[in-house]
Amino acid sequence: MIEILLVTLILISIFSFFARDLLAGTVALSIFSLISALLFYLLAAPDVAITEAAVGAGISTIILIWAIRETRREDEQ
Amino acid sequence: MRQHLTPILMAALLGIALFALIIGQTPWPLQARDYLQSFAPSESGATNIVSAIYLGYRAFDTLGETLVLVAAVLGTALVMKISHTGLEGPDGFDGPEDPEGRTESGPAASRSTRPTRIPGRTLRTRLIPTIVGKLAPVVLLYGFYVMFYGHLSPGGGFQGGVILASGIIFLGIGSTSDPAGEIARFAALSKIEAVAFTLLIGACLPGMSAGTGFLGNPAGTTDPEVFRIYIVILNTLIGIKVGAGIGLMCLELMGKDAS
Repeated sequence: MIEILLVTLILISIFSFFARDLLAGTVALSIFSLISALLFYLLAAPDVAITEAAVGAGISTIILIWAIRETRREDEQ
Repeated sequence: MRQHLTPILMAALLGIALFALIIGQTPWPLQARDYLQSFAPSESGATNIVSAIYLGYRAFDTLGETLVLVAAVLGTALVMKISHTGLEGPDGFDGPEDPEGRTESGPAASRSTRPTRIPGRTLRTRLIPTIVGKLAPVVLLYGFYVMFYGHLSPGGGFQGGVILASGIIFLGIGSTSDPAGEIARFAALSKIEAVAFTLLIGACLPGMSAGTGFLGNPAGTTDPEVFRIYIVILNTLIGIKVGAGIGLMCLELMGKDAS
């Protein structure tokens, strides 16, 4: 289970690194945070899991989406 | 493709280096863990050992973290204030390169020629404010739960505060009020944050007069029940402060065009 989640994390991070659409990349980062929160929970660190879910998947996604709204959605070539 | 090669190579090298560290056979140091497991609940009064560490043994670090957050909120507020008063735009630091004029703000935004742009409502449908507005009280309640029960169950001031901030943001998204109401909410939030931080500093001081030191337990006894009350007070103040601060920051970022 943990290995599957770790491999998923690597795939999601590669996708968000190469995504031209910055909004898709941000959503991928949000999913990354959610899966790593699940991982922290499985590894018996529920405090870190709550923090990761609230900060990583919640607040930082809002800030990044705000930044995209104020600039451009597409990455430059 | 070629410019992506260097970061991938660096990440691979870092991964190889860390892999050797992970499979290494050096035993983890167990002394601190054993000590905390046997003494933390009775010494700090918190059943949750993470809370026992960050409000009992390392409370000064926690105070520093809240100070970092104050600095972050202050910086954001300052930047937003500057961009509101018109440093941005054609003559400012990021005007001319943008062909669509998307970075305009304040009075210029209302004159913007961008089609289908309603200020502050760009990425929303009617569905999201409705559902999120109904969800906000539940999220706020959960935030208060995580905050108040930080000494017993996973969570604590910071986590509860961030969840409270999510609830405040939900309230902000769900509100259909005019920009004047938003500004009033900003003022209330900044006052709440300032009062909570002042009370937090005040709660650190009584230990000095009791002889247990800065952030020490003011009662000066070894009764875990008394420690527990002190930890709950600290958790609550930190939670309210963090929630108001991050909520204020995010609402200010979101409500940029609306005000």
